[in-house]
Amino acid sequence: MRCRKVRRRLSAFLDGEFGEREKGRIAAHLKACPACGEEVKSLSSLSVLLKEEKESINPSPYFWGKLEQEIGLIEESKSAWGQLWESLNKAFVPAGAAAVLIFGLFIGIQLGQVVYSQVADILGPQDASLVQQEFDQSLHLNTLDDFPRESIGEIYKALLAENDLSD
Amino acid sequence: MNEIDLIRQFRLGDKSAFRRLVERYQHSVINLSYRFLRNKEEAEDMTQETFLKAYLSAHRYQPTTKFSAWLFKIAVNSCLNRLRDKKKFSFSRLEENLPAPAMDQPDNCLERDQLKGLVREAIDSLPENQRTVILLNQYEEFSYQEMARMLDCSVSAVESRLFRAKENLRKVLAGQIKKEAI
Repeated sequence: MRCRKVRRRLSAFLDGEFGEREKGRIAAHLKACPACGEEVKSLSSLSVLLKEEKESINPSPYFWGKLEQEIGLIEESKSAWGQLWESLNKAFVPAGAAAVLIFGLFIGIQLGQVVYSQVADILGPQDASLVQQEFDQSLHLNTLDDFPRESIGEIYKALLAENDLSD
Repeated sequence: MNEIDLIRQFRLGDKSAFRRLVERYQHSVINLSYRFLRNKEEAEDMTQETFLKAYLSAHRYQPTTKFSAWLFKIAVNSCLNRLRDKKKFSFSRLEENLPAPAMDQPDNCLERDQLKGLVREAIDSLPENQRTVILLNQYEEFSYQEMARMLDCSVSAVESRLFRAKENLRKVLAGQIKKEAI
């Protein structure tokens, strides 16, 4: 193994990061190479020096109390948002559903008119007015008298009238 | 109870389990934060922030990694964000930041406090990514794999950063290292 490669790996070697095979190769190199051996000593000394700096501080005695308070605030605000969402659901969801239904009916009526108009365009203006009449009459359907001309209801009404006249 | 059991208990609604986790790790987290921020009040604030984030995202913790590694990842990211916000950390050339090598000191060893100060300065002057791995490796003793997961990089990137960090530290602390080696 070349010194340059070994030196780059010495830190990991000292930290016990390698398996037996790699450890063995590096150890063999270190035995044979005094310069790399010096590198190991230097890195070990550095590690000792760094650990000297290990200044330690302690959390304040109120640490948990403060944290608990912060957690409480977060839980409260979560719960407030939850309640608001529930109120909105109660008020607006049924209203929204009704609005969708009404809108759907309106669209349906408009589409119906469009279809009839298109049929009228195909049939011509005279028949178009008949179509429009039939459309209007269908919407305003109340009694037998309201059946459109030549419809089954109209024919039945005529039959009834003939029978009456014959009696 | 081990930490995975504590997390499990906490997820089931046992808040005292979370308190036990706080008590187990508050000392380590505050010291890691202190090494980044070099201010006790800020370190305590950062520790509070770390545990709050852990509380809110405990459902995301996967037991495939150590809980401490997951927690420290939150702490490291929070500290680095704080430092960036404060622009406390200068990204200028390392040579401008490095304190003078302590080679011309008198023959007697530096006083202990002076030495600690020197070491602290040397660590603080490292670029962000090198400083992070030095703090996690030397003081928290995480493995390279754990550090790689925490820092979202490869193991070889961690190795490379540590190598460069130690090269830089040796430049500054050369005189002291020689004395240690004797």
